[in-house]
Amino acid sequence: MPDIVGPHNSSQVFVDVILLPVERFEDALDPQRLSKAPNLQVLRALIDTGAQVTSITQNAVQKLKLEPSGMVGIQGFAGPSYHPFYIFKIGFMELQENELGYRNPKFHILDKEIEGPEFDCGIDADFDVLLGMDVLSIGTLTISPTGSFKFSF
Amino acid sequence: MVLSAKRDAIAANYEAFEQMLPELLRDAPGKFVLLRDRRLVEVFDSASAAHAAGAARFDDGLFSVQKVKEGAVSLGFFSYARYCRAA
Repeated sequence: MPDIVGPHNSSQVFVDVILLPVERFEDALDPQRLSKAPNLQVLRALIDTGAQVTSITQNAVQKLKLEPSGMVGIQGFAGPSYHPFYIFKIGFMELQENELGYRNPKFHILDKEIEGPEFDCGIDADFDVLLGMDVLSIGTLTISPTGSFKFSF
Repeated sequence: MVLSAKRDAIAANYEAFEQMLPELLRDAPGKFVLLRDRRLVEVFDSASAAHAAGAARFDDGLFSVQKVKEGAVSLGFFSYARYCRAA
């Protein structure tokens, strides 16, 4: 069971993730292919237990050159607004120390398929992905008063 | 494939999907439908299966996938944050 650990700043929890678009789901089966997959960039995700679904900023969509698959309604002040969504899987990186003391990333791609809507937070947004309850509910999230978090799944 | 053509196809298919939704909710709740030219092509158990079928059948990529479900999703704070506008 992987443990993803990191610091938090007492107001927000960020975690590094990778996003595997639907066209590359087969890469998840082969770590060698995964490390060579184009568009595989580390993204900054904000953990948000108030969000029902995981979503991706418009900025990250452009960065990864993702193609939309369909549309989904998102609740807002004036009723739902309609956004493109993308089919993808989320992966977490666990840094493992090797015998020489270097920390190598090990990817853990979740089996769960996500239909994640796009939303625009402007280019100044300090995250790429909003990690919602569809992902968080598969594991155990612990936020510690000592300034660290752990997500185990 | 031009992205604007894809987005236009998705929007047109979504309009047609909304018309089909009451019937689909009765017959295939929670499933995923593949749509092309405002018509339902096939029903699948997963979004990726629907996407793979669409990619195999339609070289131009002008298809879309929709989940058979009712209602909008909530992004919590970010659903309502004023500086986060709809894409």
